[in-house]
Amino acid sequence: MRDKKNWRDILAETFELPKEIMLDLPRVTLVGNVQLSVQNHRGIVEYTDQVIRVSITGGELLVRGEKLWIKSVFCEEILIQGTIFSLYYRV
Amino acid sequence: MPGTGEECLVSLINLWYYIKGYIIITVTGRRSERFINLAANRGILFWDIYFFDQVALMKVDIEGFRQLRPLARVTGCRVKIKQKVGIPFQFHKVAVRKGFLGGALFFVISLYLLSSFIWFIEVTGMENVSPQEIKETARESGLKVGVFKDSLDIPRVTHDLTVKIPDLSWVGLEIRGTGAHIKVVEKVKAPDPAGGRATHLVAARDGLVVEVLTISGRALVGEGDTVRAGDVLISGLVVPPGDGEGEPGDQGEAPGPAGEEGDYLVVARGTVMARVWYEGQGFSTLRQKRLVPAGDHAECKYIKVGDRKIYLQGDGRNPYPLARVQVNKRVPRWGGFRLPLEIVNMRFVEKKEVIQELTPEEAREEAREMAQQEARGQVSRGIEPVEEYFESLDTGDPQAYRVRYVIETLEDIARPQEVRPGREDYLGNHE
Repeated sequence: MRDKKNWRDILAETFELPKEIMLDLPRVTLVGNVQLSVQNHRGIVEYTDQVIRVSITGGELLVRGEKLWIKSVFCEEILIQGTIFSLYYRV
Repeated sequence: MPGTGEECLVSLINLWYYIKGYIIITVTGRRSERFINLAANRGILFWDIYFFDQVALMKVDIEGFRQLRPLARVTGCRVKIKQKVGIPFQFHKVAVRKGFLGGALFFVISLYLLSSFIWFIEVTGMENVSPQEIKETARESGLKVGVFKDSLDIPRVTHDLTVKIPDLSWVGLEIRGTGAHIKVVEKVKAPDPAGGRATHLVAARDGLVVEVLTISGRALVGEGDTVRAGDVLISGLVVPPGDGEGEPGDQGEAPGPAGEEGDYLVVARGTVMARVWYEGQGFSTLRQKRLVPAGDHAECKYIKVGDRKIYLQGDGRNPYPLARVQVNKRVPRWGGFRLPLEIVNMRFVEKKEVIQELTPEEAREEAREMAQQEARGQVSRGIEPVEEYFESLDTGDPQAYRVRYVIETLEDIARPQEVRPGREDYLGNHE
C-alpha cells in the first residue's frame, strides 16, 4: 500500500499531474472564513453547528466555527457554510 | 465578485429546486451523519443541512426522499417530513381540492356564459315615444332580456325600430357588457295636417297690401287689396287647382282633408307686406295750466327691513300740496350677498300751478308733438316709417288747436293663427 502510494507520488510529480487525483487527496477550498468546499471526501463523521468532521483519505478534516451548516452533500463534494474559525488535519 | 455570483447562482438553484419540488425533513438519531454519507454515496442529494438540538434539518428532492426509507432503517434514524415545498406539491394540493377546482371552473364558465346574454335594456333620448313601445318593438326584432349576444342582429334592430316607430328619426344600439343601450332621436314633428294644428296667416293690422309672398298655403289677398286686422291673408286650407276655388264656402265645416276631395290643411307660411297707417291726435289751447317747481324740496330717508320701515329722516309723508316724488332704492351688498334690507331715499319737490299763455304757433306745435308721440307709440319697434305727415283739424274754437299726425310704414302684417274648425275663418273666407 505504501509502495503503491510512493509510486503514484513519483508518477504525479514526473508528469505534473494533479496530486488530488493521483494520490486520492482531498481538495480543500476555503473562501475567506465563510465557505469551505471539500472535494474527494470520504463522508461526514460528525456534524453540529460548531464542529464538522469530514473523513478524508488517511485521516479527518476538523472544521470549527459558528453557525455551521452544510449547504450540499454530493458524493464527491461537500460544501460547508458559516463562520469558520479553524481547519485542523487529524492524521 | 465571487460573492455576488455565488448568491445569484444560489437563488437560481433555489428556483430550480422550487420548480422540481423538495421536502424539508428532520432526521433524529445518533448516527445521522452516517445516514447522510450513505445517501450521498447513493446519489441522493441533500442540501441546506442544519443541525441543532440533536436534530438535523435538511432538504431533499422528491426522488431522493423515496429512497430514504431503507437508509433510515439501516442507520436507525427517524426521518420526519417537516414541510413539502415546490410546484409539484402545489399541484397536488389543487388536485386534492377537486371540488374547489371544479367550482372555480364552473364559476369561470358560468361567468362567461352569463356575460354573453343581454340582461338589461336601457332606452334613452325619447321624449314623446314611450320606452315601453320601443322595448316592445325591439323585442319583435329579437332584442329582449336573455337573448344571446352573438345572435343579435344590431343593424336589423335599429332599422326595424326606425321603420316601425315613425316618430324616431335615428336609433343607435350599443351593447355594453350585458346591457343593451338603445339611444333614440325623435323626429322634430312638423305640425300634423289633420290634427288641427294648421295655421292661417292673418292680418295683424289694417293695411293696404303691397306685396304677397306665399311659401305654403293659399294666398287670399293680392296686391292693392285693403285688409282689416284679423282678415285671413294666406289660408292654411289648400284647394287643389281647378277645384271650386271660387266657392270655398260650400266645403262644410269638417276638419282635415275630408272637407272636400283633395283639400288639405297646411301651415300657411309667407310674408304679406302692406302699407300701414298709424294715427295720433294732439290737442292744445292757448292758455294752459302747468306745474313748475316751486323751489322747495324735502328729503326722507328710511331703511326697509321686510315690512318694517325705520325712518332716519322725515316721516315718509308729502309735506306739500303739490309735489313730485323721486324714490331711490338701494340694496346694500356685503361681500357677494344681498343684505335683506333696502335703503330708500325719497325726495319731494314742491310744485305749483301756473297759467301759461302760448302763441298760436306754440300751441299748434305742442298739439303736433302730442299727436306725433301718440302715433309713434303704436309703431312696433324696429319698423322704420316710410312717410310721416300731420294736419291741423278745425276745432271751431280759436283758442283750441287739434292736430292729426300720421305715420305710414311698410311692414309684414302676416301673423300665424291656428285654424279652428267650426269657426268662420277656418275656411279662410275673405271678403
